[in-house]
Amino acid sequence: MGGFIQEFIHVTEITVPLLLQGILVTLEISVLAILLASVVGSLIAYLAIAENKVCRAVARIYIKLFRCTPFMVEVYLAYYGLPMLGINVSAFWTGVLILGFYTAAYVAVTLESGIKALPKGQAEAAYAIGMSKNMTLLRILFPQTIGMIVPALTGQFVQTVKDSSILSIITVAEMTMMTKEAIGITFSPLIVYICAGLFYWAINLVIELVSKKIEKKYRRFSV
Amino acid sequence: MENTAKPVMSVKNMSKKYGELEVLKKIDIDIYEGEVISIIGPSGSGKSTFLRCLNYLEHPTGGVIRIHEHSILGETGGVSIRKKNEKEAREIRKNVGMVFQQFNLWPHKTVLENVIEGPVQIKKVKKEDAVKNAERLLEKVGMKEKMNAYPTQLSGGQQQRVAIVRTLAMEPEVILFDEPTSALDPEYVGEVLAVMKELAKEGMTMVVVTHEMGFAAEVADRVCFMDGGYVIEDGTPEEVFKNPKTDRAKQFFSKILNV
Repeated sequence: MGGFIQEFIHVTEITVPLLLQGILVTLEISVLAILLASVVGSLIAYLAIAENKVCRAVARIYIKLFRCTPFMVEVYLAYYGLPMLGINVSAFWTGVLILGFYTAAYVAVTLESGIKALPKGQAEAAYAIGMSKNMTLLRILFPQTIGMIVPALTGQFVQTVKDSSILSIITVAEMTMMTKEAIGITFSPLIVYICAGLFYWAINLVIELVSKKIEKKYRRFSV
Repeated sequence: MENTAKPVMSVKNMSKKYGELEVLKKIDIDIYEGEVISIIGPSGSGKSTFLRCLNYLEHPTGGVIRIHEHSILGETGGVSIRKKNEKEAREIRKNVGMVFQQFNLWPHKTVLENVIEGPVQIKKVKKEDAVKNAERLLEKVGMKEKMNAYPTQLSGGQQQRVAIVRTLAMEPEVILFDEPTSALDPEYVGEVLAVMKELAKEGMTMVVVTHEMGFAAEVADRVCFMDGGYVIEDGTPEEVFKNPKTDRAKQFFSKILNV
């Protein structure tokens, strides 16, 4: 047992600095991807609830496309496909783009169902005072859905952080990639993975805490 | 008052079809300034649909609705008419308020925020002025103390009074009431009707779809009885309640009056 503790301390001394490098990249990618997903996802949700059939079809196709293929396949497709489309970006940005667009599909579905779950009278009361559809969406419907969808969105964003680990397959030096490097040096996979697990858990704990705060703020007037 | 004055709102030949089902059949109604019109009739007669067509929450499939220089045309599926109607409807809605059966206050906004939303966002009134006006109106219906409460903290009657103030804050020429007391516990019906009576006394033009025959008889200048998508009686409460011309109306009243 004493030997294990000694080994543990030795391995973590090497592993933690490497993982700290990686966690920065993981955080950067996750934050950027979540921001991208929020913007693109809102846009797709906006199309999904439009009256125009073409808009709705575009949204449906987008959502189906990104939700019905494994993320790992999408990552490879982006890595090899983007350069063929003339888009030459680093592995880091390829990762941000694909993770963002992938998450956007889930954000879109969550937003769409949140808005559709509101009683029809909410929008009608806004129309009745002369509000446009966009204004109604922005000022009346969307703020009411936040409280409802925060738990679902949190789950999605936690998933996004975890999914970022898959980007190690296209050489992005995020935390999982650094884990492999640490194992290469220490030959102690179990201890290294324990450290990595704790690090991921810590990130997601923070996300959950923030989300609980937001949920509480918006829940107080739920219908 | 009829014929000599110009109507505030005029409905000509309006019809509404859902597929093959025709729920409104060629309705003609002129609404004059200061008039209180009660629309009564059995369930499914098209009362609410008629009312909701007036501010384009339902899209009429035939005829025309006019208010000042604005008009809504019957749609037979043309996208161009719909685009035009939507634009016109936004203007019309600034002059035509609506009070709903389910109140439809916005739960994420306080009472005050519900009331000033329209004036500030749509009419671009300065916030201080909108708040002042809101306070005055809320005071009038006895809701000023609850100004900073959220709708879910209020009783149904209180919510409906706030909803009426929300409509009044837009200073509409006409207010449409869609069964405003039907969702209320009996003990709260009186306070909402009292507010409506007060409005009627002040000369507000009102179109009220209601099952409250007492209100219709006492407050309305005119009662329209609808059945099967037609307006089959249209006259003073006296005429319609005491001497209905149609058997359908007679039969209806015999069941609900003199209880």
